[in-house]
Amino acid sequence: MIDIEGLSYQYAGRDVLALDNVCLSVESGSCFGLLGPNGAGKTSLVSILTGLLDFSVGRIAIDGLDFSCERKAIQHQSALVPQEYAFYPKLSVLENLIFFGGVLGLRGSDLKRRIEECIGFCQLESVCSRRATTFSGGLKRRLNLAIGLLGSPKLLYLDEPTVGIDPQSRQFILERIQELNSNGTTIIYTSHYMEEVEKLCDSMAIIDHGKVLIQGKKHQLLRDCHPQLVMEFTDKLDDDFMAGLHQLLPNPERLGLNDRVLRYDGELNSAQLASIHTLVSSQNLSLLRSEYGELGLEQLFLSLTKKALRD
Amino acid sequence: MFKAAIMKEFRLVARDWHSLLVLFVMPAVFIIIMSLAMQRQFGEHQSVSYDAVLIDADDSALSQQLQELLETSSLLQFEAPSESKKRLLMQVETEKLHLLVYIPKHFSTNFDDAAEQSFPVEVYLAPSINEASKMLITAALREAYAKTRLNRFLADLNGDETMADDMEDIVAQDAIRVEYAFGDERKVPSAVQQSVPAWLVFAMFFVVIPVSTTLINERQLGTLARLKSMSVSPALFLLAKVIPYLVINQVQLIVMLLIGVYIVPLLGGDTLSLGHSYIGIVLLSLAVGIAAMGFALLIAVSAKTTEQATSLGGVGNILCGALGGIMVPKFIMPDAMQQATMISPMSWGLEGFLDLFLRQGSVVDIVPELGVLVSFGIALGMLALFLFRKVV
Repeated sequence: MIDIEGLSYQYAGRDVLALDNVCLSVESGSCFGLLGPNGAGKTSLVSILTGLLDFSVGRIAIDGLDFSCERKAIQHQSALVPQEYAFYPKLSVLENLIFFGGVLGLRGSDLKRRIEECIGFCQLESVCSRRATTFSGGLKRRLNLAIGLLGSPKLLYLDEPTVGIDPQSRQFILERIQELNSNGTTIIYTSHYMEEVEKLCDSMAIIDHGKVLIQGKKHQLLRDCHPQLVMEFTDKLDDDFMAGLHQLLPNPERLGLNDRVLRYDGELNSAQLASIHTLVSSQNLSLLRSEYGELGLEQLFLSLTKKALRD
Repeated sequence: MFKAAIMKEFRLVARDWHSLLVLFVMPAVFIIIMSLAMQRQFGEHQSVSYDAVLIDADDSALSQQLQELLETSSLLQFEAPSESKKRLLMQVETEKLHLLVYIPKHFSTNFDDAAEQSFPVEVYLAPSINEASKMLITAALREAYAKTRLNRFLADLNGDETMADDMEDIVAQDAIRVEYAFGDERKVPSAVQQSVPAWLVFAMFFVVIPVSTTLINERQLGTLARLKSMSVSPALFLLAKVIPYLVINQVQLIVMLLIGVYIVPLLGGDTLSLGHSYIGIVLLSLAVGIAAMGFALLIAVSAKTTEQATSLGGVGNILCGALGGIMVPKFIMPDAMQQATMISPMSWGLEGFLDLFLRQGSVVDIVPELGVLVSFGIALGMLALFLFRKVV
């Protein structure tokens, strides 16, 4: 569906690249999670894919169409549901849908049918004639989604579609997205909620500093991540302890120490784990935390993008 | 897309009560207030007159003759002196009286010899009397004084009082006829003829407020980004904003003209005369609308926040209005300022309306105004489009 090769983008007046040689592939009919910390380049990438930003370096093909040459045709097949409530608060639900439907070139019975379908799909029937300015966050999100669906897009970009809403509304929107995806719509989903991405998406990419750090099928990415042992101590670790630990670990080169946090990437059996804990006890070390297991998406995300705060 | 966008703009502005107040109520109030308040400045209905008191300390036949002649002047409304000169002077100083005329004792002494006149008539003016009024009052006093002297001269010359009586007729003869170039009394320049087109043009330019707030909200809410992702052409998008506001400008025109024709006379003002070129009025109104939309779009795409837009747009309009003869009529400005009005599009709009309403002009007479206004609007609109492509 989407093939991106060597895409780079730099904002005017900035020194660093917002996107740096991005290569990405999204299969048709998939629900693709695009993850990354603030300022990683997600919005820039989505903005380019939806035609909001012009790129000059790289190549994008969507459904076999070259983006540079066939932008309008591509835009007619896709829709953006932005993070902002991108509609007119002073207009009612119906008036908003009539306007955006008109912009998409829908008329007469086609427009009426699509409006009815979208209203039904997002369950906005009871608030059709109400002005959007009076809506709760959940209703606004549903209207935002309904507008995005008016043109029956094959490819739907959803930018943080569940921010600032209650759990019920979030659940509703996630179910709708799943339904859309199961009906064949390709979804590009950006979110900071890892559990949402883990639940919805079948493939994903993690992007940071404008570069794609990892991409692929979700289960494959999580499976390929090594189990990890993390131990955090109250005091600094001495050389004797580290030497003892090296002898217990099957691949000691995978051991890392950062101040008082010890990290080992690799599988350990229960006997090896027990030996490590015995060593800790024998050295009278005070342990703050000890974790062992496969990485979840959040741990994978943090391990790749690091923990430093992003402004 | 175009129809949907036009309908959307209409709905948005119809629900924006603040903008409607600015577009319709503000100019209506200005027109009514200014048309009534400035009647005196334009010499309508009531003739200009000043409250005066005359003290005749000489109490001679001559001084009484002068007093009688002065009292025939429609310019001066004399009250009988009820207090001393000193107290009356205080009343003049405090604006309770416009002027005090004092004929001193011995006024008639040496009256026949002007060069030897050692007891001249004293006139004391209130601080609010401006130079033009001072000249009017002085002229009225001099006329009365001259008549008194002439009467005395003719009576002395012939010893015949009938000649002096004839003098009244001679002076009163309508030897000089003064009238406005357009003849018909209704077309005489009046406060309403100035106020309606002035505040109409001013109000038309205030579309900058709804246009810019709508566009900035669209940008801030992400609606513009969504529309761009729907491959909406920026030029069409801006053009779709122009059409509804041009229609709103025409509604403003109709409402303000109706106020000038029907409401102002009900409140005691003059009736607005519309001239005879209705096509000219519509064309000029469209041209002013195009100029106003060019200005509005430029402000809308340049400003980052609604606060910036309302400040830039509001101040810009007020400056254009002040410079363009909206707040102060152009004809009372000095020559240099009158030349400077040319840089304000409002001035061209106002002059066009004055050509049609006052000078009984036709479409041909307002071609220069139409050309300047449309060119101004298109130039600013193109600049706005250029900037809009960059910011969206």
